[in-house]
Amino acid sequence: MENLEILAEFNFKTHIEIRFSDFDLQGHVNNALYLTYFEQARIKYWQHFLEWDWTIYGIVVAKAEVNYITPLLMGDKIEVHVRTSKLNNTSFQLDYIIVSTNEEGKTTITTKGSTLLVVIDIQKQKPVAIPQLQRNQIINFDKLEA
Amino acid sequence: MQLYTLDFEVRDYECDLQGIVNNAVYQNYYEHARHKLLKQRGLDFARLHLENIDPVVYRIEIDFKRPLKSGDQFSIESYIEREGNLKFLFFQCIKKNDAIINKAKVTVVFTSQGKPIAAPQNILEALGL
Repeated sequence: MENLEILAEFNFKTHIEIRFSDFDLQGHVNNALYLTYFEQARIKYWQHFLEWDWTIYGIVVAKAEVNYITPLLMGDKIEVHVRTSKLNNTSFQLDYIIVSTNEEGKTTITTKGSTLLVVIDIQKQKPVAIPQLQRNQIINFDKLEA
Repeated sequence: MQLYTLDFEVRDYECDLQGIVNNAVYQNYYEHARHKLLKQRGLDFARLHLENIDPVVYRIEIDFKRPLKSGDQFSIESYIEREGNLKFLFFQCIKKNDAIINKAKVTVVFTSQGKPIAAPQNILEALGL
């Protein structure tokens, strides 16, 4: 059983609705859906504090990891916790934890993951430094060291 | 090591507003390729489930090198190795004209009634492991 205390290190969480079509023939949420849940959660995370012009800067995934601890089942309600754990020049890492509450009210950590994301200049289609304003917004929100 | 190769094509609805295949879609490609590999070895994913044997993904790592775009033709290469008694590693790679698009390492565990099990002998033999 994963310890819930780690959640204190996250300043943001959001509810994600599991859809009927997310379940596969094994009765679990299909493994391929988790990166979509992470994506949906990080968009909400950014909307919460970050000013981002998607017509100038894109963000692409360079690396993704998902650790499936226990499956998500019908009736589970989930929250995805998101934080920025590393800030580089053109890239940054986000960590995710999915916490599920089942129909009996039992809460468990079901999934842990991370994505390394690269900022790109939309016009040039090349990596570009994270703009200073947005870097500061991330540092302030997640209390990172500058 | 027996390499299994599957040819594929990007469908427009898999591309996001950045004009590239959305990162989550690659997991669908990889999963389909794994199931086709199993089928080639005489193991049917849906039939295994009816027999109460479910291979489940325990961990996945994907390294994205280049994007795929609308209409791209590509291939998925897959092979499988055994790690210890319970874990099976699928090493998978998506290539377009020999250029690596991305690579994945997928750890799979066989389960029955939700509990990990040692893979039955007939499965090991089918996989050549």
